[in-house]
Amino acid sequence: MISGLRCYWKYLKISLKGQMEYRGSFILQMIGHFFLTLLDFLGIWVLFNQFGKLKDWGLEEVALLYGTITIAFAISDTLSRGLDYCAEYVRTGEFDRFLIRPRSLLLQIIGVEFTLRRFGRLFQGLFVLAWALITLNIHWSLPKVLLMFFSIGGGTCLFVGLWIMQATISFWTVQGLEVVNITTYGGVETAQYPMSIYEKWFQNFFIFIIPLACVNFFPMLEILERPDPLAFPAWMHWVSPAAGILFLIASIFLFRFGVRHYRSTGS
Amino acid sequence: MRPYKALLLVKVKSLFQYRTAAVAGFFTQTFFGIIRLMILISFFGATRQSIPLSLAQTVNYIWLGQILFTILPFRIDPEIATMIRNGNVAYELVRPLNLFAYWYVKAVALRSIPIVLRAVPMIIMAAFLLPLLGRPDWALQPPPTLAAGIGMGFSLIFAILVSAGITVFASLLLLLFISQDGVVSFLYVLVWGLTGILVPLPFFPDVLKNMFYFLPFRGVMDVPCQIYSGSIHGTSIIYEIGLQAFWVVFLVITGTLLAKALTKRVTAQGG
Amino acid sequence: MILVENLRKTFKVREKTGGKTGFSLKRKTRKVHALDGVSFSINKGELVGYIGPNGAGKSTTVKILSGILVPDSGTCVVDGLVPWKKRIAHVRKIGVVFGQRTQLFWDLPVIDTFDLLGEIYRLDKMEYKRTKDRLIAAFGIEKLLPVPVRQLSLGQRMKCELACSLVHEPSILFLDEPTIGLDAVSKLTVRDLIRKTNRESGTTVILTTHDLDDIEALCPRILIIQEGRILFDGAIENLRRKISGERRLIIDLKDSKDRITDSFVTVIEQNGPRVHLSFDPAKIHPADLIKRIIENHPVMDIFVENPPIEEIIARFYATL
Repeated sequence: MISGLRCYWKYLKISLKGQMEYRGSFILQMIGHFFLTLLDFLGIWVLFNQFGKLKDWGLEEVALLYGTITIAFAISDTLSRGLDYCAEYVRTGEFDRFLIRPRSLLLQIIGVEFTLRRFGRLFQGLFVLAWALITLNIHWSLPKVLLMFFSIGGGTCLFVGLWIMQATISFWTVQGLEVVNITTYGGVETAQYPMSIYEKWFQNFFIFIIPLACVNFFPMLEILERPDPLAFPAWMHWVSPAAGILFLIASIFLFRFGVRHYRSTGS
Repeated sequence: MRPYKALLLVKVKSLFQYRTAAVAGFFTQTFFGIIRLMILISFFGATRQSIPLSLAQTVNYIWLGQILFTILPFRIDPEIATMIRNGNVAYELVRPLNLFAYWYVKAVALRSIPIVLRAVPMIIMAAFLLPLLGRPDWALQPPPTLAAGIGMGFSLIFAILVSAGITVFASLLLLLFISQDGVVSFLYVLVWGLTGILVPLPFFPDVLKNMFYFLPFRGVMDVPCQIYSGSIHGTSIIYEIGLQAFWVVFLVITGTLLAKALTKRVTAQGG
Repeated sequence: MILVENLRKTFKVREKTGGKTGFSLKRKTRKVHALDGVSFSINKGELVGYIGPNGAGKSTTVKILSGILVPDSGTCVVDGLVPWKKRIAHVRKIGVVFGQRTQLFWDLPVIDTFDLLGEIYRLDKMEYKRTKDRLIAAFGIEKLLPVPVRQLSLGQRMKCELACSLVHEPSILFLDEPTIGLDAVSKLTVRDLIRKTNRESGTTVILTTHDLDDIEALCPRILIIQEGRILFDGAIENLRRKISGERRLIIDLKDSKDRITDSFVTVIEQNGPRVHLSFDPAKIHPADLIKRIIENHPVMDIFVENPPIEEIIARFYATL
């Protein structure tokens, strides 16, 4: 474990060094990424400006949901490049290169690149979150602060798990993987709004199958001290971000299963 | 005309190879369409203000936007992008063809062929399957008048022509500027924010809405969507299509001039 | 050291049916026996060439030996370990170079790849430094270390690839087309380095290549595989003898009108004064034959030649 972290740190340094070779371009890209992702929030602002309210939710409260899920997604996104390329590695046979190294495959694949320019989205999420926290007037307590970090951490695990699952699918087929974007990019868009505005079947999908609501909506209800429109017990709101961690563990097992398939078919 | 026709045919054939991408695109577009519907229906449910689009018009606008997704000029032709990156573009510049016309034909194919593959299943889903699944309120409805239907048809043709113009214009800018990433992400931001795919343009504050009239991006998606849903009606239909036509002419003329200048620069440097 | 017995591996290959358009959704699967009972053993320190046409099963064998693929049946023990069962323990002891791919970081100096590999293989700091210095000196790549990989020539890059795959001092080295695309001088250098590694560190080397000059220059022993079966295992000389006992003689005559007629030789062709002859060394000793020819004909020069290995292999396939 310690040695794994040390090895990842080495990968990280190399990846950063490589990106610094193109410093100017990377700073431009990061700024571009900041504005591109900020557009999503401007879209939300346009709608609130036109309609006033979303059920009984105001823009500030939605901004809290938006900021936390965006930060979780952005952190996972900096790690996702190698997983995203997994289909390409499998197609070209480059994946074999990972198999001949005496290290965990996931460590090596995630180590392929730490994508610095995706910090653009992270800054944007922090920016929106800061605005929400300043305007919202939340009654802070230590458990609430911890819950906030738990929520972002759980969300990061959930998204990393989704990227791993996408990579896993590529052991069977390398075509049409864009569909997984429904759960990643679509998931972020979904979680930016309160879960209660969606249809029941849709809510259930994002609570029980891909537990997005557990890492964002439920804990934020506690932080905002709002009643739960879905009527789940309060203790569940406090523990629900753990679902993201469980999801990540499940995805790692699936990935191992996928590798076994790859090594018996070589496809 | 013959070389352009041959090019168009080759392009059509190769684009038909991307069937899996079309299936994936279908699911993605349907999913995003449904999320946006649920979000906007909730907004409509809560408001007492007067809104520029009715709920029914909004539903039509969103579905049509998802159907037209592939004509949006998010990226330049990947083939041309690769050529610019590895320098092979020099060969394109010295061909005995009008560079703008050559790239424009390619771009029209790039923007119009995928829509054939995507539109049919999307329309079946949005117009016929949703009512059968018990959600007639989510379904794509026929245009309110015959004029709206016909107007949308014409407007769609011009939308493809505007989109192809923007695509080629961006390719030329990519050739002109040193920082390519800048051009690429800037184009993405403009298309995402200003065509109506992110949020229907009628919902924007008036100040911004008036500004959009001075940019070609509305013509790619917002105009056909508004004509179809009926929020642009009567003689405004003709006026709006005329405006699209103006943007086509504008992009073609400035693009041709830019292409000529760039070709000259390359020939002057000796290729 | 390496013991392979009766390895079998079958792949399912999807075939599109349905005409030119490619619109059909029906797909047929066909079974391909990539390996159909392959057995061989390789001792420590050997340098073995593994050849065969594309799709014969070369890379499947190498993938199984390096722990990437799991075979359907058969056994394989490398250094006491079954490669696909103990992947991590096994790959620590092997080095692999794919000639057509690179393990070097494209935008970074070679030294960064070196250091990362030291970390990946969990090498002890002192030990790593010693090996690194030794390799740098032996390969003569001191000057290349601070250069970003994208600026290296193909030949320079291959030298670095080889050095990098030896950082963890593997006991077995798999080389897949290590000289592909290289110019003549670089090819010689790379061959030299392979030979040196094999001799000085006692590394077992398994080399797959299409360049038969590599094989002739490097490998005392070759394995020929086709359609998943090993068809020949032994020295190149034995193959030569097996295929044809024939030897070649090239003679430059003083007089281009002169004709050689001798019951022991056949004339392959004559270009002016130059005559290509073939003869069977089992019937007449080369020295005796040369003496006979010199006695009967005025001769300018004589060369003895072996049939090129390409021809031997081609004839070998033809006899099957």
